[in-house]
Amino acid sequence: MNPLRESLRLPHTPEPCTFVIFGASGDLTRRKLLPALYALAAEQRLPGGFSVVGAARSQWNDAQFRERMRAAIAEFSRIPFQSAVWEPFAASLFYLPVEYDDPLHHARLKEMVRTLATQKGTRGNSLFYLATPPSAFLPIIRRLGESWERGRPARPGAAETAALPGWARIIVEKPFGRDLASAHELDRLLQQVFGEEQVYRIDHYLGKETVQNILVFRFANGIFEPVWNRRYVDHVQITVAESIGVEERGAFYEESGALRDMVQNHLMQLLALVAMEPPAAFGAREVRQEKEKLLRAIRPMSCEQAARVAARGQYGPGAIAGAAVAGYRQEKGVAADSRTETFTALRLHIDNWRWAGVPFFLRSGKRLPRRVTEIAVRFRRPPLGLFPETPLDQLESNLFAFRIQPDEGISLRFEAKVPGQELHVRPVNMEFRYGTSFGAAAPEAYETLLLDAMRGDATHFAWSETVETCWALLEPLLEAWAAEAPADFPNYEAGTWGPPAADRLFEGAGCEAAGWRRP
Amino acid sequence: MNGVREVEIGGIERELSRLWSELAQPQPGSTQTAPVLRTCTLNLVVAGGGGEQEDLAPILAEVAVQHPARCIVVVGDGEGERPRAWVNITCHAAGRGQQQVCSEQLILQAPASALHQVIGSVAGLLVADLPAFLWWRGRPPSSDLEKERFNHLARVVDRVVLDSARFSGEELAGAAELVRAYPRLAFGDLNWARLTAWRAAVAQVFDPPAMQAQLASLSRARIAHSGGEPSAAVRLLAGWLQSRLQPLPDVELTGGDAEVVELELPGGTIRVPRPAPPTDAQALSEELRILGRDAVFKQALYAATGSPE
Repeated sequence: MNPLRESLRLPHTPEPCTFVIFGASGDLTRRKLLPALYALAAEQRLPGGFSVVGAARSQWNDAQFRERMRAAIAEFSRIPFQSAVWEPFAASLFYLPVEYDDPLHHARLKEMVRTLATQKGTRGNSLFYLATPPSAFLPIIRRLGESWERGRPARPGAAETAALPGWARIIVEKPFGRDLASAHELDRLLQQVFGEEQVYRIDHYLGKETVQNILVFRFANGIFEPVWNRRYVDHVQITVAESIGVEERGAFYEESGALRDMVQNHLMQLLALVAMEPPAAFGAREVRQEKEKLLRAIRPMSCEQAARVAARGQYGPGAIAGAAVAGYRQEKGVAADSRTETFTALRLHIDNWRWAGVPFFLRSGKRLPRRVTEIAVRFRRPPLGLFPETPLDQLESNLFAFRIQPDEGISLRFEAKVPGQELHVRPVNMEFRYGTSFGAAAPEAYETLLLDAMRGDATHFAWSETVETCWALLEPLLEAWAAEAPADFPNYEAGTWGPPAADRLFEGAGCEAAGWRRP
Repeated sequence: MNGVREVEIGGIERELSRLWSELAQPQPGSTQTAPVLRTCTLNLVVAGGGGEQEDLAPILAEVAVQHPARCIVVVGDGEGERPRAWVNITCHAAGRGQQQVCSEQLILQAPASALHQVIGSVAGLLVADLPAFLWWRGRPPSSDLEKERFNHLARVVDRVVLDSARFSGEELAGAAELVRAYPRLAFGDLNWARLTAWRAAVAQVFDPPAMQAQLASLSRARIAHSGGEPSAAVRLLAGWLQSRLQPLPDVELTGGDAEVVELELPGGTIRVPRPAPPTDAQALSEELRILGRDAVFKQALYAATGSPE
């Protein structure tokens, strides 16, 4: 350990490493990865000796890569562009054009990383990032296994001279498959080359400050956990709403839909965090184990139940923020008779001792009235109505909301007496907002997650088992929806909160509340 | 921002309540019922300074954005015979021009003869259950009277922040004595916060394992400083290197044109120039983020002043 790093203030930097980005000429690199790395550099969180090697099909050289990344950082970084930060950072950026399946190109790339290992003292530590379309995952992973010998440390027969020393990790972008079978196939391929502890499946939701705060809120405070169970909680609602449509991603979205794009990963992860048991320790293994345990306790659904526990929707033309917007089928790259769902709502039950009987409602959609992500925990009403002027059924339940975005924070709704001679009761909100209590700007999710991967901390990354558990859970729904064409698409107007079918999920759910919140 | 209002010290809380209710009234023509949000994350007592108060207001306003706080400024050179007090609520927009976040500022002023009365009232003005910081703006207290005042405030706070930027070598030793004399308290130093980026730059040199191996061979470091006498900052940096490294390197302080650390290693000399230091408000914000003890600072201060551990 570097003794000069020991301090309350000096950031804990990871070991020096080379960050190899496959797909370095793409949008993700430009909008997210390089701006995030630049912000880490500006905050002195990168180790000395850190360097980036961009690899992609575009025929660029180092200077062209740097120039493009400079423009990207100026446009997208959270931290304003400063020459004093950029100059040394730019000197650590390199680029090599590669065909992903060409062993010669991989040999060249490997030589570049080896040279950097000597020059920069990285010991060969390498972090690979798959920022390519999923179709390129397979050849890259295969070549990493064959040409690089970057797999499990003790691969039998690995030529010592060919292999680079140091650690190797790989970050994989979603989608992690499009169903259980394809997710399993991707895992099988990854695990032929890498050990599970080397694989970091990135779900940027898990890097958000407010998402990470869910565990802090639940397990660093003593007063909430005692009421966080079936005895006090009526139901839980998780909403991930977008006001935008599919924008330029029409063709991609046609193949995925809301269930695959949002529910399988983001919403299930949020559900796991809000409902899991306390982990034995705050470590990657322990946290993932508890999440997995929770997800496995979700009551499986059958294809026949699909209509009762889930609702799908597709937006038609409407208006958002005073402007008319097109329907999904009128978007670029979308079929005129598209069956793809742009809205999904689910009712889930968790069959464990903590949550038995408490329904969890999940919904996500595009072209909803506003962009908001929140988890709302609604508590049971008091057992008796004590105030004659406000009957029990008019009392609003206590409600606890984690606002993930925007206006990140936490709010608690409770009842209070309206000042005056009469005894009228009204609900009031107590709010905590990140932006007002902590003036410091929160890091972007990618900054947090890239740094975690460099440090070898997989707590906030998805686990292969978890990915497959989520797919297995949703598989009957995918099958049922594929088998039966939706009769009523488009069934919600852009700018509304989804189709009426979503409201029917509350019927017979066994909770006091009868509908969705309007967050 | 509201106007500053003069009040009796005993009426401060009442006046603040009145100001808050006034701010909570909807503005004419607005339908918003709560135009402002009251937030407080800590108490900040500012004392020990001379008359130079005009530079203080912008610093506190900037710090309040990062750390909404109740600020209590104690001024000890008031005219007249009796203590006076002013209260003020300052607001800033919390992102995207939405709600106003407001924090409280109290100014307590007294002639030297009545300063003890004002200092005595600080304890009763702190917001309960929140951490309390004392930003002691002067030199380490030397006279009995100053010591008594410092002691009075030190009893009611959790952390003391000094600013050793203009301390002589003797005064820096005084700061070390102060740290030793108050083991209950955590101490910080704006001058130390101004060194964080420079320390990070030096530390970064030794992140690669190959460079770490060379640390053991670092026998000599030179810190060049501008001006005649080495500043307290340079002394602290030297103390930091000496307190962190084994075997202890010789650290030489030399005059020069620019502030730069030179490390003599087997592979050659490495130069690490001082990055641009943060503003006073940024340095204070850094100090207010830390609630615990900064052992590295304490060890650097002891090493810089030759004080025993």
